[in-house]
Amino acid sequence: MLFNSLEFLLFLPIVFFIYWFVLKKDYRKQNAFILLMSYVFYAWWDERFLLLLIFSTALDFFSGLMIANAISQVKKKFWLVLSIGINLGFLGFFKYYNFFVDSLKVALDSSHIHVDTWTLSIVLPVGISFYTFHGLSYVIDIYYKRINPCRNWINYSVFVSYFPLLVAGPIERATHLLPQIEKPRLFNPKQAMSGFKLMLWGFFKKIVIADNLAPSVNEIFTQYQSYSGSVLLLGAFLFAIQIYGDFSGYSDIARGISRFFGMELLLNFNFPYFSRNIAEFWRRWHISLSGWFRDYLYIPLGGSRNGTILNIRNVFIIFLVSGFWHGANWTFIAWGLIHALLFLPNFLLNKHKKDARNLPVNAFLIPSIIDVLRILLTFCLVVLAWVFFRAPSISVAIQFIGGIFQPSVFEPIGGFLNPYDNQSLLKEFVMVAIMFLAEYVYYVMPKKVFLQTFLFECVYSIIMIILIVLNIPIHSSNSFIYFQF
Amino acid sequence: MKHFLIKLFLILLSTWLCFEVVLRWFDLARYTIPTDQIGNNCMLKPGYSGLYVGGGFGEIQAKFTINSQGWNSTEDFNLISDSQTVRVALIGDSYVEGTHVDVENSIGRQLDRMTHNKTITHEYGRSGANIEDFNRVYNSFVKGKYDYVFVLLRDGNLNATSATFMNCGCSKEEHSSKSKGMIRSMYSHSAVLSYLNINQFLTENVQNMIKKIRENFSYSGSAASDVNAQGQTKVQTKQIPHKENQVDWDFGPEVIILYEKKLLNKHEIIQKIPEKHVFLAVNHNENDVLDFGFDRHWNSIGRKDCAITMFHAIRL
Repeated sequence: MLFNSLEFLLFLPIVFFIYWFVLKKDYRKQNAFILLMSYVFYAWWDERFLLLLIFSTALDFFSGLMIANAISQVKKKFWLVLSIGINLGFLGFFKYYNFFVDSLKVALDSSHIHVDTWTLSIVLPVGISFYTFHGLSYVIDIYYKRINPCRNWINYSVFVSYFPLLVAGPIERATHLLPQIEKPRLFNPKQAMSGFKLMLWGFFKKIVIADNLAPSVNEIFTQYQSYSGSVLLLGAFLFAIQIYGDFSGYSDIARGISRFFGMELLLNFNFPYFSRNIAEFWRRWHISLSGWFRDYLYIPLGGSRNGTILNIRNVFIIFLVSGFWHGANWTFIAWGLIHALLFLPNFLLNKHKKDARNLPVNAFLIPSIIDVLRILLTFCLVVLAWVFFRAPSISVAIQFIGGIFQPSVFEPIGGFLNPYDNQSLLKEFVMVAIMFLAEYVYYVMPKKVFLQTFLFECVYSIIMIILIVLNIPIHSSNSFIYFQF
Repeated sequence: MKHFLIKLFLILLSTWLCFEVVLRWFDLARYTIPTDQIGNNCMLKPGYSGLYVGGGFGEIQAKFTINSQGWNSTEDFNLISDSQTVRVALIGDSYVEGTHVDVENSIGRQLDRMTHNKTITHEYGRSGANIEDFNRVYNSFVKGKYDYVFVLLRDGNLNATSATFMNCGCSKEEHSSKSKGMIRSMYSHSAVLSYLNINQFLTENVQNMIKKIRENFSYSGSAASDVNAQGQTKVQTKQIPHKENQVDWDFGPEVIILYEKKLLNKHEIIQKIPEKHVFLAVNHNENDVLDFGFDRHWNSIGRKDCAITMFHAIRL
């Protein structure tokens, strides 16, 4: 079930009503109900893969118990390795099998060794990368005694399958979400109203921004050979905005919906395009994933406490794995590699922890010229890296970027029409400007009290809902990009 | 909780009211053209005229005028016996009905202008019509009365199996279901509902959703084919059985078929027509924008292109 579907528009109020009005006296029943509804939510896509989700949940639940109950370190390690192995085995099979087979065949062919390989037409179970990482973090945390194992099957299953985050995150931690599941929840009207506003903002980013930019991005990336450098540059910028609108929009919707049920999810995006360097960008983009890799991969590898060579190795590993997590294609690995290379200068100069605080601004909410230039430079670098993320192959990405750096990059882009309505992109530009302006003001504004007044809530909701409905694309696919990861 | 729900209700209510105002103010939610019973046919309501509005922001706006016979045309279709004037009939679906462009820029009017009014073209177009409708229109209104008869044939016209408007009447469908009447009445009073129905196919989507819920609770087979590699779910829609071979080809030899490139080549029916009687409907310059993007109906340029094709065919 998609958040932006008619089914979900009915599903959410029904679940909300039963959860708070029928089951309000017993949080255990609320949890059981949320679990059931999460399974319905998932099975709406394909009921067969529900079994995989339940199996993965059961595996981690029992592994967690066995690790906690094991007396010897060897047994603990056995259960940890078993859980990680099976989880990654499923992930590898469904997500990476064909990639490895194809890559092996290419490598052997180049060595003039011809072998018959067979690939599978595998359907990637939606959300497998996300719920696998939920489970892995849980068993690893138990192994390192950061948490006690959950002894209630339903509570643990809710942690893994909670429907707002089930298919595209944020990637939750047991230390953060499980305690919220294990205790009674009281309805908090302020929390619910802030959830409503956040959900609308997420829909705005998804429908008004991402869905409306998608046809232009698809057209430019598909027909890149027939466009001038200026249009290719436009395409790269539009994709950067599209993917931000799509993914951060999903995260905002998920976090907003979760607040209706009295649960707070991790912040996943913290105004990443206002970052002043790549390190800051990665502290603000897909925070739950970068935090996961930091805690469960980078730090166990030694982090930045080793010699320079090992530290650089660790940086490359974490970025390459992060790229590979997104999909079985060399383009994602190249994308990770580019970010590693962009990150490295800051890291070597030990400036990667610089700019940890929010952007400083003056009384008129305007930052310094230096900061503006740094933000623009960082954004441009990120945009170029996104080309690899979006292109179907590395050669296409290189040709695309090569096309940008041509004299034609100075040609006007006025002739490019949005294939959605065969009109100029003026409307889309206005909407993007509204999004960035609103996010910027919210980001740097010191006092946000007026945002909770009824007048603001009412005006904001009216404007948002009207803009969202007016901008719902006609006759077009509206799935979220991150579902495929 | 009570306060939250009241607050939410007030917000949603004021949003609805504001949206009604916005849609009415900017004229974004026009109602569909009403139909009327003429004989046993379900035609557009004679004498009705106005502005067709389509697209989320009213990107498509076009004037229409329904003549006394229920076709979108400024003139009634009266045949004149003038040997100087070439009489042309064009049969088709919504592409010929032409509510997406001003009635003055329809294919027929553009053709008449091209020939300096040496032709008089009557456009027998009706949205949703199929090959069976075309046959009936031909036999009822066109056969033996025109010098040239064109049929604009598109892929979709060959898939349906029974007539949608000729000989099927309006009233039996409209009065067969009370709920349908009620829904239409709601649409006519609420610009928001009307807008959602025109642009987001509200009724159709609700029906699909109910169908899907029913299928989900009664279906236990494989669903792998419904999901693509990106995990996107495809909406299950009932496929209309393709019965092209059962379609009777009941047109006279004078009929010229206009078709869209690549759309009909795969259909066997195209083999039955003499080659010299088949023309590409549009032979356009690749840079020309012929439609509205989200709506594939031709704009004025697309229609002009079609008129040029007819112009060349007549000169044969």
